Amino acid sequence: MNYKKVITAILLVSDGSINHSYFQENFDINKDELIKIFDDINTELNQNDYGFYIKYDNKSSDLVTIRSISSELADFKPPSILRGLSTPALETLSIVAYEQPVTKLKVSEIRGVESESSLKTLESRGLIEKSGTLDIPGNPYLYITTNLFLEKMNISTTEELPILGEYFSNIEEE
Amino acid sequence: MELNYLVDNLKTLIVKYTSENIQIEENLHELFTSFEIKNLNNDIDNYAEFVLLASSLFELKAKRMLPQDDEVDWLDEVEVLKDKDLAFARLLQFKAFSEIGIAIASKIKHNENEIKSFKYYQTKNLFPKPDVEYLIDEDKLKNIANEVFHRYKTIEGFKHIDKDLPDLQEAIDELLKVVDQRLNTSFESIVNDLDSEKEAIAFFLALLEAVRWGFIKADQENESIKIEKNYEL
Repeated sequence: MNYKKVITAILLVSDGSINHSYFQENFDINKDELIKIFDDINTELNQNDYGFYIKYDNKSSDLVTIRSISSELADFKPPSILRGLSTPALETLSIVAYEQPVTKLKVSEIRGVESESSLKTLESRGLIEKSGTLDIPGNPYLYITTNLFLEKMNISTTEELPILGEYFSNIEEE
Repeated sequence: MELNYLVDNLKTLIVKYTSENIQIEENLHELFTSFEIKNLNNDIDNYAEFVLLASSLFELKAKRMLPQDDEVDWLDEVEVLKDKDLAFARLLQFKAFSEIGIAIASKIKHNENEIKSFKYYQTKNLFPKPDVEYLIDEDKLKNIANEVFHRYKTIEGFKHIDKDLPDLQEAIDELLKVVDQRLNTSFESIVNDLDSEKEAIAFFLALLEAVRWGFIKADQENESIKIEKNYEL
């Protein structure tokens, strides 16, 4: 089978990233072979100056446009997930990301203000979601980040989020 | 006053007051302001020493002026410190998350420069569909549909809405004409001239509309409504 043809076609029409396990199981190849195919395709695309490549990590892969032509694609870019998000909403997002699973009360306590509307905004954007309730009186909802958030952050699990200190390590140098 | 002389004076005072636990009587403000800056750049070291000594004396004097209570409740002091530390820690935590929020946004923005090949999935999570199920009784739906379409084809079907209702605009015009002809009138006298209840309702609506637009004034006393033209217009 011509893996290159089929893999690129699947990645083109797929609804999101494809897990490596799908290719491994259906094409009976191991992960190293799959990565080798990705690399071969990427080399060919790069040599021929195509504007996209296969982006992959340890878990999945997808076709994406190359970063260097981003400004030329401005008219075709889907609206940013951040469009219209306020600073309070971003604060709330960072708290949910690092403290998850977290209740509304805990978020409000850290921020010092009521955070319901920020949580609702983030939920409607698909960046956070409810994930069960806390087993205390009142059973408050627990919030966690979604797969969409991970994709947007270009990470595969929340454990790959930068440790808090990394954000501040270069402050003096800056 | 010369700088060297001042520094020596301050040193003496510091030695005196740190060795004895007594109130500082000197007017430090005068001492501090008596110094005239002539050529600061040439004597920066002495000037720095002067500032350090003077500020130390100020601090010492401020402390000595506070009530010197020997019986300090250290547990209370520790509690206050704890509260302060907690408040400070919370402030730092909030500040940190605030900064991280911006860092996350910047990272997402950076990543969005690479557009994925099929974009529909990026929006499908934005507006989750409500988890609602509609149960439709097929037979009942058919019966309703038959009834509606059957009515549509017959004049009988619209009988219930085919009423000969009076025109509200005509009623308003008629009301204004009557009010215009008479100096003042009452709702009852107008209604008496009408033939049906429907017309009375139309006239009442016309009255409300005419009052709303300010064409007439209506005043209700007891059961009768007095109506007159609004001459203020």
